[in-house]
Amino acid sequence: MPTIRSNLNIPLTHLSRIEDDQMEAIEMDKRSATTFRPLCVKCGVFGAQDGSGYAEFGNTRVLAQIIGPDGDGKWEEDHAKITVTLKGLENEKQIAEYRAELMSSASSVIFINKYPGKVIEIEVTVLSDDGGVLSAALSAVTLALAHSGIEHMGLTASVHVGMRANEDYITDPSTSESADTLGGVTFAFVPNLSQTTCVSLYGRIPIEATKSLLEFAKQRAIAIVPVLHKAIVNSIKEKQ
Amino acid sequence: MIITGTLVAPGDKVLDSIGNYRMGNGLYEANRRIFASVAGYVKVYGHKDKSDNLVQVIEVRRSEDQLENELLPYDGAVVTAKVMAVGLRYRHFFILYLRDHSRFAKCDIISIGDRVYKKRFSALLPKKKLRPLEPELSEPFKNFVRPNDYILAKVCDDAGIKDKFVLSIAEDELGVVLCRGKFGETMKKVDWNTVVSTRTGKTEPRKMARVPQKCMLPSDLKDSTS
Repeated sequence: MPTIRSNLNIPLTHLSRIEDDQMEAIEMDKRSATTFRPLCVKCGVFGAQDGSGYAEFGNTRVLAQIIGPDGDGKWEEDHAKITVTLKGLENEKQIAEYRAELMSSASSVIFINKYPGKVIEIEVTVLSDDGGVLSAALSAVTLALAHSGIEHMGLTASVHVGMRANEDYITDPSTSESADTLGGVTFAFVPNLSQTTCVSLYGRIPIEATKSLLEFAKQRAIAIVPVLHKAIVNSIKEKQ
Repeated sequence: MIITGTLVAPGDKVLDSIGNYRMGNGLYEANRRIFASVAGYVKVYGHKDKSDNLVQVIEVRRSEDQLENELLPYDGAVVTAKVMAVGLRYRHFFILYLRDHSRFAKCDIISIGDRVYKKRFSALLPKKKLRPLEPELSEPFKNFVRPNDYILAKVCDDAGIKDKFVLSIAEDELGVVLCRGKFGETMKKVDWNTVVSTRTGKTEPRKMARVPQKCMLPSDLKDSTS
């Protein structure tokens, strides 16, 4: 009998849904501006190994894994070196952009001074992209960090918000839903310190609208905190 | 008020202020509040400090087991390490110790207790931590350890060196546990300061570890049975 080490399962019916535009359209009608797509977050995906997280927003699925802190012969600074690798995206420009955002967000919460001369590798794998990859990746990374036992300042809540021409907001839009938006923002912040770690604006958003957009994004990010918190607490319970 | 055993996620507020507690691991202070920095459970325990006062330490632990709790080799832990090179001049001390060619032995920490690390951690074994109570040692390094020896050592704190772990074998229980000769043959222990080659019969000086009885070396076991 094979050994089952992972307790995560993604139903095959869910994976096939990405092609099904019909179903998505129905979903969109039901959703109000403030509700998220159906989401699933998990802290600790690979049973035996520390430091993994999984986030799923609708059809966007991202897996994050943290390796380290490990010794490295070459790195001799008095703080840790953080590296981020992003897999599963094809657009080179997009990879570079997301990687930089993930890097700055992760290194702002990790206590790098506690791991001198060590290397922390963050590996993010995008399993499927249906809008809001960056916010899903940030959520996956924060779950992986909590699972890894690396000391950091707190969990990072992140959200992707789109803005329509009539100044309507849409929370966590999928690719098809964001077709009629002017632009959007990926917003991440650490709730316990109320420090913002990532603001990634794109599209043609009027400057006077940014303030209210960010305020809306922050409210939405707060809404996701209990979900992440529960996932982390559950993972500790499972461990015990 | 948070109770012992409460599960916390990173960033959860554990206390409004530190009060009479002493801060342990897994916590940090920001805006005068105490937050958890790892996911785990809160633990409060009594601890006697240097002046023999009993203080209540509060910390967040991931596991009851100390080995599971710490990601890295911690202060005072006994580790198994391999001596990689002797006579290394540490970068920051280069100018200071230019004339002395062997201030440190470079080691790689392989395991802590019975837990083997996925990647090795580099560590230094300073000359003054070879033998207890002898700070100025004139004897060469080769009387204690040589490259490719496996040693049992204790991790200790050194203010000057931060990016590497500092080891010490200045205890009877610590020292060489396994060493090989010139031709890769095993070296047998003669006494606590000497080993002999099984192939050439040549003796070499080493500081052997007096490993406690319950975790004897395989070679010792063979001796006692024959």
